[in-house]
Amino acid sequence: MALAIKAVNLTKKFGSFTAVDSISFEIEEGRVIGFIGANGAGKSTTIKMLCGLTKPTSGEALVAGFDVANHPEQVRQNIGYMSQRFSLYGDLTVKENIEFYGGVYGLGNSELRQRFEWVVEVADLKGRENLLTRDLPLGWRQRLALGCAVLHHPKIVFLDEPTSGVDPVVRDKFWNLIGRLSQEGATIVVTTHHLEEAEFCESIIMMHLGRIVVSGSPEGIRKQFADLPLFEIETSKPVEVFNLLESEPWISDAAIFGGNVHVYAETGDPASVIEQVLNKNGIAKYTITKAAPTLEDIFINVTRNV
Amino acid sequence: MFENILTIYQKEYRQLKRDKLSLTAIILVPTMMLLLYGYALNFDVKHVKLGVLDESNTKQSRELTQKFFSTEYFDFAGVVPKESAINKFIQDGKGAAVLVIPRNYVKKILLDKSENVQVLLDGSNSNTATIIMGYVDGILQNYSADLTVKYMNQKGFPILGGAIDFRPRVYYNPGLKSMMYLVPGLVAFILMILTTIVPTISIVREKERGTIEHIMLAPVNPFQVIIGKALLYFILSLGATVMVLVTSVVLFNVPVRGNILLLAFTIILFLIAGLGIGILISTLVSTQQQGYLFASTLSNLPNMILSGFIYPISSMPIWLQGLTYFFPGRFFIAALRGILLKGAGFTDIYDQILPLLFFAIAIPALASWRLSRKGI
Repeated sequence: MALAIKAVNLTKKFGSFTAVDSISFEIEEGRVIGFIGANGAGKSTTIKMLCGLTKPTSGEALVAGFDVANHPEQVRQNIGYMSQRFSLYGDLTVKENIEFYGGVYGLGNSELRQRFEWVVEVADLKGRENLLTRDLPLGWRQRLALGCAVLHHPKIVFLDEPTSGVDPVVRDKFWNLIGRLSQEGATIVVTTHHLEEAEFCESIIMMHLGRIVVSGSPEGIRKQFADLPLFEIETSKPVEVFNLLESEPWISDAAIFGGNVHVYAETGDPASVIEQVLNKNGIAKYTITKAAPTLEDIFINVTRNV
Repeated sequence: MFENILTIYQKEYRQLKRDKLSLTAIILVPTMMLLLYGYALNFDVKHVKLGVLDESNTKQSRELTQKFFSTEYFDFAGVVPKESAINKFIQDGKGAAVLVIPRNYVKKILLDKSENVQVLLDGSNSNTATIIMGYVDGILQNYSADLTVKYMNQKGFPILGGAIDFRPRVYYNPGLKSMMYLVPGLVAFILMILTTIVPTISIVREKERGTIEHIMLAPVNPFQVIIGKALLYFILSLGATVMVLVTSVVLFNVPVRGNILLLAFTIILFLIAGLGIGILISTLVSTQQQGYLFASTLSNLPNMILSGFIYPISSMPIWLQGLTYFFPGRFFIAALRGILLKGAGFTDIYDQILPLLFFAIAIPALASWRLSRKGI
């Protein structure tokens, strides 16, 4: 399959601070890719370099076959971009925003009319065309912003933290729209710090402090980290268990999930060591099972020692 | 290409149309500034409150006093009863000056002794005081000359008047009204504020909100974005200029003696230079506050101080005079005074128009260069 994006040793420095530290990756056409990481991990800077909004300090990137540093114009013609800071003008109506972006993307009249209908439909804005954008709820604004970003049928769509600040229901609606764009053949690159959203992606790239720490499909990554010493303790006294285990030096992480306690135990034969501690302290009824790591567990694990 | 500019223009227009406050400000504030400055900023000293301490209290002394109050420069502020009350009279602000005519005034005239009349004045505003002194001097000289003639005639030396008959005739502004001189400067000052601050704010706001990133990713180049925006503010500034000029003509009787087309051309050059400065600033700053500070400083100071608006350039130190050449204001004000007051044609003021033309090309060129290197 052809590559939509290829980055080699891509680096961005702001003064002495390295925001993106020599990362390399390839993204196939038609995929939905998620860049996952905390704030400041370098996701947004990576996306901005790929869009041509900031120049890489070193390294190179090909987007839709064009070098972002040398052919930004050609890159622009092939991409759509929506950022956490919304592209919409709050003091223009829904209709005027669509018209404006249609205008700057050079859409002809008939095409604009057709795309206008499309955006209004996918963003669920029928009958709200003449409302000022700033009066719309956030979820609608996000979908409208995405609609405006893809008016010109870009091959690659970059979404920088598109779902920040909305509740899960609205987020799911947004991801439905992303799925729709993907079915139409677009390559989608999303950044997020919500690990739940990683599950919607075919492939994810986890970033930490400007570097890629893990990449692959969510399933593949989970398999790769299946051996993490992660245990689930089912008990009727989760708080006591948590308090007992948390202070042990070989427990590097402990958390209460519902009635269960999850621990990350870095020691030989953790199950029996846990058993000893609990028995010694008079906890009688419990079961210890090896837990399959979630992406969140894996992310915490891979970023812990960096 | 042209469609892109039009798209940006239309968007900007729709936003501004909805922003009633800004729109009103852009259109009305220039005229309001003209009115405020026009009425407040007046260097004509008239109706000076003059107190009188007439110890002579004779026909002659009353005749002299009458000379003062028959002009529009002095108003009678009251009688000062005695010499020791003069200080308090001025201190309390009852009058800005006191005319003192001594007890032996008549005797002194008759004995051919001069230096017999005193005027005490409030020097806390040195400018006003200097002007008042000039008036007093003029009135006394005149009166003195009259007396001399009368006296000589009485003594049998028939002369008709002073040796030199001074008859000044003032061109272009016969009433010597300071408004005539100030209005062109005000127009420059107001237009510079409008053309630099408004587009700077409009461009920087898009930077702050992040919308500019999205525009820059579309197949639109920075020049089209800037021209689209500048076009709207150009049209608005032109409208504001017309209102300011009409107000000047109607309310302040400023004449338009020169060619209207030359006037329009000069104004357009100045507007383009001003918009260029605004755009240049917007490429340098990243927040609206910075933009406002930068733009208002750069439009206020040079156009207030270094343009000949209020303070004559010829009385500045040489190095400051040199500095005035770096700002379009001085040329614009000189050209405007020429066209409005003197009816100057292109050949009379080409040395002002050509530098303006230079600014109208060079500043936008500099802004374009910044744009092509750094983007918006």
